Amino acid sequence: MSHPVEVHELVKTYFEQGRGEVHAVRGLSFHCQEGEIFGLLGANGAGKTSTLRMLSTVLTPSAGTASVMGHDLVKEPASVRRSLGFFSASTALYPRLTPRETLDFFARINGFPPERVKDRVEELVRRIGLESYANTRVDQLSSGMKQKVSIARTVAHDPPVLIFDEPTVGLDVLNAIEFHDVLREFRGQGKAIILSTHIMSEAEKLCDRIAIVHKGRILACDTLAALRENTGDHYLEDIFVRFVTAGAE
Amino acid sequence: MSRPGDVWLLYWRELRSALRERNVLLYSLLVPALLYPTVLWMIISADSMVRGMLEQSRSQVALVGLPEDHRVLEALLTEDKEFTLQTETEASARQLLKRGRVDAFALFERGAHGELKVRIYYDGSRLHSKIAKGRLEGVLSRYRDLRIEELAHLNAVPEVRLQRVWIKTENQASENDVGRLVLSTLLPMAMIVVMGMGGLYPAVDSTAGERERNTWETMLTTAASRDDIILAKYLYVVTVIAFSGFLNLTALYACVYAALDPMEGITISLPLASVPILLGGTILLAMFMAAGMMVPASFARTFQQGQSLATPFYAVTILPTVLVADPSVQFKLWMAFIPVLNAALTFREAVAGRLLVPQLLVTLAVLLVCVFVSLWVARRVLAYEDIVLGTYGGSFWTFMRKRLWGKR
Repeated sequence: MSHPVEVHELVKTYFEQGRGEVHAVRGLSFHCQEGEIFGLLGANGAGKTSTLRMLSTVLTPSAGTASVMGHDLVKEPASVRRSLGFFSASTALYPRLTPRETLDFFARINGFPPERVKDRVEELVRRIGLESYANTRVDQLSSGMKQKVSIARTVAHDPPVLIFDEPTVGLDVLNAIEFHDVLREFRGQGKAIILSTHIMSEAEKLCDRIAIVHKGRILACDTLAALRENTGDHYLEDIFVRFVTAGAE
Repeated sequence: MSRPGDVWLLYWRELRSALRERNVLLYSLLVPALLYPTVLWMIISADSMVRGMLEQSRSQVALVGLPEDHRVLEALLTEDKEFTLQTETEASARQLLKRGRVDAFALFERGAHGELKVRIYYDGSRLHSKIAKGRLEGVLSRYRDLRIEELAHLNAVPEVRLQRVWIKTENQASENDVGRLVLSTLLPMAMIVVMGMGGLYPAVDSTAGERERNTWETMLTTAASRDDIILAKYLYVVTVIAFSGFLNLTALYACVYAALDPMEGITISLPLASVPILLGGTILLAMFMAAGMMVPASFARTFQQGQSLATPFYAVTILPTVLVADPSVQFKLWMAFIPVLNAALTFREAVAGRLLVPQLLVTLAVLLVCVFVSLWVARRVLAYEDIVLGTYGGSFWTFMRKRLWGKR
């Protein structure tokens, strides 16, 4: 049976002036199921963002294959993008549009049925509690509000797959907790969610399965319980360090 | 495959954002519309003020050695309210002129046959002195005519026997020709300067600005194809530049009409046949300028970098306008092969009511080729991931040399 997201031996190599050939991703394989939050846990530079950028077709894989909702990344990039919502620190909002215009635009451009766009926008505005700010320009909103609009923007076209790359970086505790609740809600709706993070507690709380990524490779991939059992460590931080240290050796 | 619906959505989003941006409104709409009324008002006001001041001012003139039998001339000068006279020796007059105490002095000498010779000394570096010289010349010519008339009367001969050469000038240009000369001198330069100014901000904002605001990756993760995104951005910048051009054209025409048409000897009107050429030329030039500014700006990571990459293109486009402002420069066929210069000359010829078909066709072909080449380059540039993500470390020229032309 095929999963919403399937990644097989994905490789990304690129040339960077001063660094030469960089092997950002070295043969990553994993899958993500419906109603699952799959965590990519790794330090900065582990290859998480490159992997997610390949999944969202911003980058082209150097080797390997991957599919989103059965669409091949390389052969059907537009269908892949239509099937997913991508959220990261580098996917900001248009400051001069209002939240309502933003949601309308992203729903339409991602192929949401035009006759249902208006209702969808209103539903999202209500869901994120932006009724009184829906017609205020995004650059006049607080950072918490912007974060909410960003999440709504990601799901505006109701995609079956969601990708979140370090979503809580820069958020205060309350906003981060609120974000976790939203993520659980999406999981409850049956969406396949890939969450990249370097925050251990976040992965512990949210992820159904966790892949520990280091230097472009997956060192371990399992549920938290199984990882605990295999290593004998309780805390994810200890588990992470154990694998990374072993991987380095 | 390109989806027109997506292009329209993306285009409309760009335009909607732009119309809420202060800088776009200022440089693309307000400046083209208000620049000329303001500048013309300032020029006319300053000119009237200077003229008024000069008309009211009296020229301080020294007379040196005016013979007794020419006292009528002194009377003429004294009656004239434009002069304040004083009698000096040559040496003191020279000193006074040097120090700026007199504006000019007239040195009178007798010729071998008793005729009066007048030399006017003035200081060409001072406006008042030049005015005094002009005024003196006027009075002296009048005096000479009076003396000829007097001589003719005394000798009972017709004046024409003594005045053998008569000079008369006549302007053969129609009032329309004069008006079109004014328009064709001003319009090409104004159009190119203002269109470039109007296009610079949107061209940089829609490329480098997007990257700086982190909205570029947001856009790349939508279902729209990369080609559609580029096309929509390009059409948006073309729209803003063309609109700046149209506004500028209208404002310039209205201002020149309001300021000069009421004057005698000049009629401001555009030949009807020039209108489609001006409109089409504006769109074509907008297409060229948008492509020329967006390609280098797409290399920048920040708005400021984008501005410094796109500004040289803008500066280069302005250069030919200096040449076009000179009415003696003719639109030769070879000039039609130089982008921007060809458009500026086409504007000029159209306004002047001259239709040069070969030049027009070459201009059209050259600009279209330039646009297609620029768009091809843009497509090639954005095929590189490091350019797309803003991680490319080299310069625009290094990229062109190493990747586009394949030289290492």
